Amino acid sequence: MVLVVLQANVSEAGYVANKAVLHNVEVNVSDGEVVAIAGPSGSGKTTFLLTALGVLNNLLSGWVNGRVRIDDIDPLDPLGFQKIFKVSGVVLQDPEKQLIMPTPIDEVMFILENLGVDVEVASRKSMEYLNMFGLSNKAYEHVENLSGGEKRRLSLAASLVHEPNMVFLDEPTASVDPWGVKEVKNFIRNVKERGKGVLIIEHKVKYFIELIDKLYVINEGSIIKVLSRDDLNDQAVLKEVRELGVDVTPIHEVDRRDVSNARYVGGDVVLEVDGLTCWYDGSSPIFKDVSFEVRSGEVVALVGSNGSGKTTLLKALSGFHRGCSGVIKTKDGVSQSGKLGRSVFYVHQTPDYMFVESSVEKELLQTSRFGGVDLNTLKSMFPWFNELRDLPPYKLSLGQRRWLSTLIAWGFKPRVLLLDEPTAGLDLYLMRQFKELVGLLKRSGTSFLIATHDPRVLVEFADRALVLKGGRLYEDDVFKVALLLESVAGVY
Amino acid sequence: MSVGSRKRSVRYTGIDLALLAVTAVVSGVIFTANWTFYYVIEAFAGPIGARLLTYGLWFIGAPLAASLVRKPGSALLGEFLGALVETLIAPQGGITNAIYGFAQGLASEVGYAVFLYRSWSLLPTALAGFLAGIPAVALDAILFEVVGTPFEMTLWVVAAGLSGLIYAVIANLAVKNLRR
Amino acid sequence: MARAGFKPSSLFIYSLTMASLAFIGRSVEFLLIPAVVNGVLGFGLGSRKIGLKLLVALMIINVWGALINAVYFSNVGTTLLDLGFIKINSGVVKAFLMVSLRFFLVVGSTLIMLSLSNARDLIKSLESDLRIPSSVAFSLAYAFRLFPLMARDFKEISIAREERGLKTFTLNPKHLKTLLTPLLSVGYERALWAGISSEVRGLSSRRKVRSNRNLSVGDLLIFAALSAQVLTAFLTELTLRLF
Repeated sequence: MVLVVLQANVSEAGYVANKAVLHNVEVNVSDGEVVAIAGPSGSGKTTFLLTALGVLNNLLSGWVNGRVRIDDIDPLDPLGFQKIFKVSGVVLQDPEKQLIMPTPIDEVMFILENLGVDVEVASRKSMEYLNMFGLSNKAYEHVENLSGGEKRRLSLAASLVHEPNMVFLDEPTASVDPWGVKEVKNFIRNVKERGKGVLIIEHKVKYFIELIDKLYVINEGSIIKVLSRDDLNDQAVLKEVRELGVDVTPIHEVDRRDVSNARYVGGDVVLEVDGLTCWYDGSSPIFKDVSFEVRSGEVVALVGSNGSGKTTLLKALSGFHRGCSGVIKTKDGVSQSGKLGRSVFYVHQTPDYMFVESSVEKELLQTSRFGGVDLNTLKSMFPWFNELRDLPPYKLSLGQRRWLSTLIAWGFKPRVLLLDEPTAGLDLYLMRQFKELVGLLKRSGTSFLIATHDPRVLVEFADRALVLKGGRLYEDDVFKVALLLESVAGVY
Repeated sequence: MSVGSRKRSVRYTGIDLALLAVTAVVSGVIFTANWTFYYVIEAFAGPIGARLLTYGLWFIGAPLAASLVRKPGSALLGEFLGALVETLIAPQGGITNAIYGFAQGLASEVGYAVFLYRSWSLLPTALAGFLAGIPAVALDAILFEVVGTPFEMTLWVVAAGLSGLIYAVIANLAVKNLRR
Repeated sequence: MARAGFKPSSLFIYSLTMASLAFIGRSVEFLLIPAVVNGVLGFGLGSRKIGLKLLVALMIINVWGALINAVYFSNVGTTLLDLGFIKINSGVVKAFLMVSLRFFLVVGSTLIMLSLSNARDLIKSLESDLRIPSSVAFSLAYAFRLFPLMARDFKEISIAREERGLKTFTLNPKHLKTLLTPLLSVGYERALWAGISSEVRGLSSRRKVRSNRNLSVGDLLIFAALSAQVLTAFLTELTLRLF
């Protein structure tokens, strides 16, 4: 007999009074069923998750009109909310934010301790789950000694150790590389086989498409389409869904000619790297003998798995990684693994690190004063300037903050902008918005070196691809690399 | 059925506790670094100058936490947890930090309590920062033999209090710009 | 899990008691023996775990601070030394000795605690053995989890500031604010999700985790050392006062 493990019928819900974010959302998940909710950023998909878990009204002082049941527990009721951990496992978007304990063993044991399981039993069971996820040798290490992929696995182990009937995953692929995506995929398959219900919130549905039994497409807070398993096999239906902004199609089905014709051949060489080797204190090199050049106006993607040394390479180029040998040359001078002055500018994926002022206008003013680009030019290149000028930069949306931090970096007139994972957490729409910015800045002759493992960057706007693998760097065809990344993630 | 919480509950949620941890780390590091600032500045600027310039940094845990968490007890917990973190990361001052932290946090808590926990804005925050100066000077007298005439001690309390006020205001303004 | 034969919380009690001694003690005699014992033991154990260089630097800063403080606040009594621009009186020596002894007592005992335990075990033990509120224990554990993350935040913020042509950090209040805001902004978002993550995993149902371990020989030794020092301190002072 099939049992419904999640039953949600939300007529309205929101964060502030009288402002509904969700309207008539009805979602059901039975045991052994994998259900996905897809939609662009701001469509309400994460809000729905928070509603279904009772987080919205019990923790975030929001409100809900409707009825939700997980097993036989009502998460909307304050007392029910305190019990939902017994029947549900939750995997959040960013493992770094989800993990709350100093060591993996404490992380996995946390929920068992809260269930009142005897310490000895809880400890044994936690080790068993760490083992299952390949983490038993790191059980007592500080969690920050784990790689990105290991952190993701730890968050998966911690969501399953108490054997819940229902597992929720909020954009589980947003902050992992293709290798991590594959692990998440295996996890979902495993949970499904155990006969539990799975709800995935995700815009990159293509990663899980063969596992999904039912797909809800959400937009502006309402379910606009429900697709069955049969629909998901129908290319015509998928095409329709893609037009709604949901990433359902693998790259090899995108027209290849569209992509390859757009490649830009750069001008003069602006950055030349020769025989660069970098290491951490006293350890073997992270990468060896790396050589490449970047030409003006080019967008070069630097591809590699988490921990392959992409960030170290960018930091080395900008002079923030000590411990390198080799030659880095720009038009403005040669550097023996030292600083290149303002020839390059490193931008982290967290835009907040970049801000130093209390309003958007002051940020641009500082940039103009210290960087030398005319203030009006900067203003004209920030599309939301007039409405947002007095707002603290921290209050902008993620897309706007990424735009602003990149614009600030450009304002210092570097020849090459070094961007670290600039599309992490961006949906198809926001990614295209970012592409628009890169196109805009490129026109001034600025080059880009973008560290990424996002196939979309390669397909949509990279001119060249450099691959960092096993400590070596080589150049490859952009499209081929994109396909490789997707196949690693398990998209066929 | 409509479910929603109208008034802010006084119970500490996981989010509040995690925020307290954030401010504890920030203030714990500031507390640790401040020892060096204090001794260096005291050599040049004397006891009053040093109190005015650095003491407030040792009180910043309370206004940071209270401005972020906005619940009764958050000032005390913020300062106390910051001091515990300081004890755990650096032996500088050792476990007496925790005693200072508790006393200063309690004094800052009074700043918000006299406003009946209705406001977490600049005014109560400034008061909270100022009040922490009293226990700080008192504990100095007991532990570090820093005893002067009543007039001198009053001056020290005022200097430490003003310093607390300044840094409390900074903490409050820093929190204001956040997205939430 | 095989661990050392004592509870980290016993060390915490030990360290806290020694700090209280430092508060109570008002004479050199009282503080002398505990200060020497804890100073030698603490710096000996601590130099292996924390590094001798750091500890010596710490000691110099504190001795220097104690001296400055003594000159400022306790320059009374008979003149011992006249340097021309300043007279050093007997009060300076007494105050300097007192503050230095307290320093060795407090820092030494804290170093013993930190060397024989680690933050994670200590926090766990405070929760299960000393029964501190689980909410406070959660905050401390999460703070300890956050530490390397926030160190990284600070590093990235410093990089961005340097690229934007700004000084990394000064005591200037405006600099402090522009450093705090991004740090708190990133911390706030992290705390929000960490808080949700803790609540959907049953934080509010968390009972105090009770340890089923009894006091071991190690614990008894710690408490014996504690009692012996408290007794010695009081007895020394008493003896010297009587004769």
